[in-house]
Amino acid sequence: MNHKAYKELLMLAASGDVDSGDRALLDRHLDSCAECRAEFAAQRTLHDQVRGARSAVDVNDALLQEARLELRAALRRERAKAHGFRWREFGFTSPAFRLALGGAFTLLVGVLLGRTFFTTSATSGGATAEIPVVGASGTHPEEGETRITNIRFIDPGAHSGQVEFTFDALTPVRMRGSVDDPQIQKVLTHAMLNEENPGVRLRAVNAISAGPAEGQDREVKSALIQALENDRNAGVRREALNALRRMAFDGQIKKALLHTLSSDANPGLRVAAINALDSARTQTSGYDQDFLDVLKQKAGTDQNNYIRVKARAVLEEASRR
Amino acid sequence: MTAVTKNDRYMTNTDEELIRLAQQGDMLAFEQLVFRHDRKVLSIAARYVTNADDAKDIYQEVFIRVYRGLRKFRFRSEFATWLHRITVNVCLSHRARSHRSNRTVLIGDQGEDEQEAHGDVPDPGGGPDRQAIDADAFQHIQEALEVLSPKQKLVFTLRHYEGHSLKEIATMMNCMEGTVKRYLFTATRRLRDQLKEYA
Repeated sequence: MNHKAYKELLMLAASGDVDSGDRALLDRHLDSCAECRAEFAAQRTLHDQVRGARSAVDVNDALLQEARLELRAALRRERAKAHGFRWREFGFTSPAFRLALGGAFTLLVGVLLGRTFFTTSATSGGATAEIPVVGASGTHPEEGETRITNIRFIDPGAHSGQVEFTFDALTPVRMRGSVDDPQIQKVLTHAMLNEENPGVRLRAVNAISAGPAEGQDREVKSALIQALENDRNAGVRREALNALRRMAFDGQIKKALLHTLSSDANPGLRVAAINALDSARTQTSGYDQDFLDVLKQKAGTDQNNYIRVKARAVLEEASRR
Repeated sequence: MTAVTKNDRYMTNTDEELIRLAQQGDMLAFEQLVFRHDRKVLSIAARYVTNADDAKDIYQEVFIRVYRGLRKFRFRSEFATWLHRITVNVCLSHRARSHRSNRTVLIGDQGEDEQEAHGDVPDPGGGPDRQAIDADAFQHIQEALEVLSPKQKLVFTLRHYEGHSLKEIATMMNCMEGTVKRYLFTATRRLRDQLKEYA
């Protein structure tokens, strides 16, 4: 082995990455080479110096827990993005349905145009429309009358006899059915997560929570958890929390409540989370260690005085048991 | 009596069983899989960046990529190997993004309050002199590491802090062992140059 090869070897040896055979070979070389001995000492110093330095970020349990909670929320968003609202389950995308609805819609547009302009022209060449079709099959859907709004003339057709314009056609769909019906739940779940208007989201949560807790499937629970963790409106988060409290307590609900207790900006919701977790111990036969850990943190650091007092009170109660 | 949740039941499953369940959409199995390996991922990320938020960003990006790619995982390699390879890629792309957006923050630039609030810096213990010396050494080493290229820094971190062999690092980085060795040599040489004055 030449001198250069020994230099490579001693750098690996400094961090302990050589086998016993190479190490013995290196030791023999070091006995006879002052330059490599000095180099080896320098390498060891560097290794010790770097290894002895603490990390810029302390990987403790609290940081890991925080990372896990944030990951959980990100995964929910990922899943929601991937699934979206599954219109296929309603049969809206089947070719037969689209053909039938397209035909009916074209007829409807024709009638409405006739009524609107009181003119029928044999030379008009017929009307075409490219408007997104909305409808419903579902349990008991009822279509209301299509409302034409926002007509914009592209070519008023004063001289040519041809007219061109755009408009919005809104068709209200009425669904009636039991709250525990899966299709009703799907629409409500969609509204809960996607409606812009917080009032609508709130009503959707209220409607879902009005049903029997045992009839609600995993997706409803998941949507409620997502609303609790991510909805911008505190009222919606509060109702989602109340709805979750009515369900059988399990690990998912516990984690969502712990997330609220740890991170929600609204103190009322943090208090509600403490109450929910505290009362859940009747279902889990005792205090949960994760809950106690978060409480300890809250007892010392929460900005809200009442929450600090409340956390201490629950911790005292737990220590007495 | 303690309640046995579904998550507890997964504790006895092998990684392969958890992956197969997760591939069928079982999120609790996926979560259990994450919990088995995530400390290591966070540890690599934490050594690679200089603040807790960046470490969590890398952590999250890694597991989102795992989640997206798990359906196509065909058990041709160990899950841990695949996971670490993703971690390495995310670290490298994170560094590139940070440089592009010029968001790199040196530890010395953070105020004390911010450091405390993020819990980034542990209490080193000892008297004020010892703490001052530690903080000084720490800052020198951090600055020296920042001088390395992303790949040099990653190889150095994986070798010296995480204790991986050159062969393991080569597998993670999907390159030859000789290439890893070259990165390590260069990184070591540059670090020694950087720290020469300090030593």
